[in-house]
Amino acid sequence: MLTGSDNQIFEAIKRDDNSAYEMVFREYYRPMTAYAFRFLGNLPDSESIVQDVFLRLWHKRKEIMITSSLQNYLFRSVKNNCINYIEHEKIKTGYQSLVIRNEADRSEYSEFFLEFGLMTKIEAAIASLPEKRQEIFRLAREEGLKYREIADRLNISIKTVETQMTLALKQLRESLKEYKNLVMFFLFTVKGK
Amino acid sequence: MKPNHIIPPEKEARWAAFLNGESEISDVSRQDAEEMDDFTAVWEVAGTSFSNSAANPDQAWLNIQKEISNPDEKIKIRIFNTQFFKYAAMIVVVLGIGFATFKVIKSPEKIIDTPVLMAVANTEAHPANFTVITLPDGSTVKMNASTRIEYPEHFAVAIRKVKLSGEAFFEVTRDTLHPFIIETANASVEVLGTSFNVSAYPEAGLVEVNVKTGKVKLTQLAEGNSTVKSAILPAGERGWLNVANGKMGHDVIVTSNYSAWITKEIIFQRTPLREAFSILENTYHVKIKIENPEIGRIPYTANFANQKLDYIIDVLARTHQLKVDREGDQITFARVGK
Repeated sequence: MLTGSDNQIFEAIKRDDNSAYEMVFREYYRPMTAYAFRFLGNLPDSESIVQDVFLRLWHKRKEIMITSSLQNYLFRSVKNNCINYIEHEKIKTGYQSLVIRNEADRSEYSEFFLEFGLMTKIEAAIASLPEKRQEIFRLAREEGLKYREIADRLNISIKTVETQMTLALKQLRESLKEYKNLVMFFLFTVKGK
Repeated sequence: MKPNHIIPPEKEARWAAFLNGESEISDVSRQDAEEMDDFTAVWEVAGTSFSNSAANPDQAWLNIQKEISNPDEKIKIRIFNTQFFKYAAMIVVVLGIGFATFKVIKSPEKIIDTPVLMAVANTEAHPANFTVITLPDGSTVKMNASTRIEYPEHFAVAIRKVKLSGEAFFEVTRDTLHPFIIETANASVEVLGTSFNVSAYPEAGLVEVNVKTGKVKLTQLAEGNSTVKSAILPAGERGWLNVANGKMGHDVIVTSNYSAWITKEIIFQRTPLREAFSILENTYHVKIKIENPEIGRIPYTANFANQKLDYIIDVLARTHQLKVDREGDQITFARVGK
């Protein structure tokens, strides 16, 4: 994540520096999308909202006044756009209203960055699993397959699936050890929902 | 795969099995509980990251670059005033060749009932080639598979209007006094004289217009043909309407693949296979299934001009080491177990 220097970067964007703009885009696109995803629950709408925020940032760069930080500005914009969007569509499910209520007063987004950072860490950790182990883990976790189905699909024994799944979880736990507090915090908030 | 000689401790294997819903766990001792929590946390975090990992910054950046490349351009609103779809689909009037009442709408106030002799053109589901028809005004229409076009034998005085279900490429004779209107179940496409592709297969739930030359107006229709919203599409743009939620948008046409069903020229540039397959389906009139969802995300780069489908499939499968099964018009891609 960009830090205090992100306001200097915004100054560069104001001077029409496209590369500064791209840098901000690449840095924040995925976390912002993940943030919008919380409200909207689907990826196309989330990406669309985030792209609108970025387009507006570029087109209105001379007029936008940022008082806190670029980071806060971007995430606040995502939140506001999501709220408008949901209200407009009148698809306020209980869950979405709840999330919005919980998010409404948030003015700092650092907690969310921690969470997103954790997602990035685990993605990297999963990617670094040995190929076969990774495939087995993804089939189980991403696609929800049972051991038996994985064994059939990959033409291996159930015992192998069991062994590889156990090793995958152990290895992931090992990779995330230094983020243990964060993981527990995350687990707590997930359970709370 | 190599046999793994590390035998996991029994309890950890049980936790893993429990998390994947293979078995129940009843006796977790206090000192094991913390370790168990670790496993659970990893499991949960991994699940969240998967749902989020599909966002594609590279593609998004391309979109953004295109939209900001013209400094004088105003912000394009990508999401129009969206509403959940509450408009009943217009009833498609089924007409054979014969007399029928054809409602021509000049303006919301003036509705003229004109008896018109209607012609209907239909194409089959698996044509060897596309069908070309010529309309009364000299405009030509290339029709893709499973497409139906209704048009009057003589165009009405004020406007030229046809009905479309399916996909067609229109080359409209220029006549600024008589707008050319294509009606689909949920949208109308209005032009003065231009060439463009309209895809409106009912089962796709999407109306898509790719404009080659000229300017085209895409309008969402509600019950009774009232306009919900519309967008003007210049040449080189693609407009779309999602029938299910009424969302409309437009962006720049990146490839000419929308007309591949006519030209048999296909360009994939880091195109996710899911998308590539849908282009192949539309071009070669087959159904393509993938056995493993992750195959759909593989980016694929290749150019094909006038190739047979078998050849394309072979190249594609070999490039990404996929297994292909073909039964008639049903093709299935699967990962090869290593």
